[in-house]
Amino acid sequence: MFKSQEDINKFFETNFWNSEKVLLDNQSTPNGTKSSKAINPSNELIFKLLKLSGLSQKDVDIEEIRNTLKKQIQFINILQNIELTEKETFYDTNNARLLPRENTSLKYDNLLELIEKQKGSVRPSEISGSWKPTSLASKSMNGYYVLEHGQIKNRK
Amino acid sequence: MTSIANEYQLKCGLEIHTQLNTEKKLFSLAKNDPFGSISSPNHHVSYFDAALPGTRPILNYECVLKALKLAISLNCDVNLNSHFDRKHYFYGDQPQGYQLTQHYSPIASNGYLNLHSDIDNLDTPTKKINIIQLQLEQDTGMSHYDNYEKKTMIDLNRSNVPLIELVTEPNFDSVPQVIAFLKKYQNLVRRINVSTGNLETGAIRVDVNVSVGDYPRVELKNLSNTSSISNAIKYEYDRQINIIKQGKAAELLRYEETRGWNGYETIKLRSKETTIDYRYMPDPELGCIRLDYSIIKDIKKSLPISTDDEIRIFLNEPYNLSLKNAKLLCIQNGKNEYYTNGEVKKYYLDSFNLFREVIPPSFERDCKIIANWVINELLGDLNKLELPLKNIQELFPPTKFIEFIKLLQNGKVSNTGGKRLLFYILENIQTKQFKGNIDLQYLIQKLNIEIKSSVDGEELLKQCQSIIDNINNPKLIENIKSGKKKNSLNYLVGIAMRQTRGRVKPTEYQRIFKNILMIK
Repeated sequence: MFKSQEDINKFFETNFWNSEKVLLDNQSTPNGTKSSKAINPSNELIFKLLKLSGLSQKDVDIEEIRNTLKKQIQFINILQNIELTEKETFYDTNNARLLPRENTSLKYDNLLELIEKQKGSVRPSEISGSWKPTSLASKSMNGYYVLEHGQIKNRK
Repeated sequence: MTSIANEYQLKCGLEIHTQLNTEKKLFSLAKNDPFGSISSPNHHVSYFDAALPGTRPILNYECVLKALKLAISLNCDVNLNSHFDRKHYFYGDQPQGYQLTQHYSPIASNGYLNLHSDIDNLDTPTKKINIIQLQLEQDTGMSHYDNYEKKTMIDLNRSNVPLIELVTEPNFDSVPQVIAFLKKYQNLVRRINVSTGNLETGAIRVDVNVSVGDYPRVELKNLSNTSSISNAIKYEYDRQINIIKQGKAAELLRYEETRGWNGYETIKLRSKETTIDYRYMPDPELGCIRLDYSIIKDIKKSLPISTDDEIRIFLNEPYNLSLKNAKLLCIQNGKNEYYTNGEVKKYYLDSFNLFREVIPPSFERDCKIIANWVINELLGDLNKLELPLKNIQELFPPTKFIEFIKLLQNGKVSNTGGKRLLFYILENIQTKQFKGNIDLQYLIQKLNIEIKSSVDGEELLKQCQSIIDNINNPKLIENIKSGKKKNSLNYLVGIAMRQTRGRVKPTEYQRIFKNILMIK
């Protein structure tokens, strides 16, 4: 487990593996495991992703994007399917980050003090009416954000 | 072999979302006022609530305190190390693209709430409802659909408002049990002041899981009030039984599904095939909530006694209230705009204690007079006059009320006269006619309601005879005489009392009527 920023730096300075090799190793698995099966993104999916990412859909090399995307999906699938050993699962998911959190346990008085203290720490954007959230939106009406019907009703 | 009863046994579980009534939101200190600010959309919105890039959540500890109060009141095991997860899904009223919730490590679990046959009006003995878990999470913004303009209008005032999600085990086997639980839960959240508890405003939102026998459950969503909840369960139960009877259960009740309620029928929203993968992950920006074990004991000490225990106290000595009156004092239904149950309870208890100080112990049983006059007469008048209880506290506090009760006890005024006097007092408080101390003696004289200490027997006899003559109903008189309709004698007494404005004791009139009609 990492104890300090130095530990983290040291870990990333050392080269244990590379992603190309992981992909190649998995491709060569006899009969192919689920993680190594290639997913071929369709043109429709690629255009949808380009649109969602705000990228141009004109004059793009679809095959190049498809190959890159394929590798990325494959790589993520491999990562998700790695069986963790007992040693690797001892990390406390409460921390959910590289360095452990060291927060102290709250007693009743601590909790009341924190509540009292928070009352005086309101930030400018938290004051009602101090800014106009819809001013940043491309579409708004009468103080509301506006979404086209199809966008919100056709979700899966 | 499954018996018929078991085969068709209804099983329900609840998932309840409760908005906490904290001053500020869950992960920002913007004002928490989703209902009050409905006409000012996007007014109470911080940068974080609108998910502006670069903003981070900061936990509001008032939400933790309220969640713990609820958890402990529901007899839960408190998790001394809970944390938040991100639940991903995309919807216009959720700008972050995920909801911060506590799916995997909730703040509390393994609780229960008992329903009792008498207090909760059930025809079964005590029913224990187990609570699986309680988790803190963010509310979403609100979507208003404008079908004419074909637009969805988004208001983020509700975004990041603190919610408690409560999940019960499927322990309910009848609709009245579900409704009783909800009423009890509403009262609880109001009593410990963690939520307004209103279904109508969306402060409490209920989803119900319904299944029959061992078939997979169907989740019913969008149930906005108790009648929708009750009707939707009944409809869904019948629908599932029909499917089973038609032999189509293997096909139509094979998988869990989610259905909505449109006021008439349940409609399929999602089935197993379209279940959303929420890609839960622990939130890396929020620390876990670590609590010291001592906090459980300290919060328990800060909580009021349970409603059930308080009702039992009022049912017994020295109060001896009826169940109806005890419930009126202890249960917060949030319906009356002129008084809260807490205000009535305080007025009653202050009056009761003052009364006990001034009457001898042998009159202990007469203490019921306080409940009768506070709950039946005073509250009735306040409702009639649309006068809030707090508005009478200055001129007609419990000390004055007891002065009034003593007039009744001493036989200075009759019940009829007392009712008239009380209404007169309250009416004049409302119209601000009274300035200072209310002089009850003066008012008795003014209203001419003082019971006469010596009455002219001849005059009363004439009055009673005239009443019998004027009624001109020989059948009624015959029935009174023969004892067929004993209560009708009180009808005659009532007429006489009204004529003399309650200045003559009812027992006096009863005696004379009996003499005239020759009743023993």
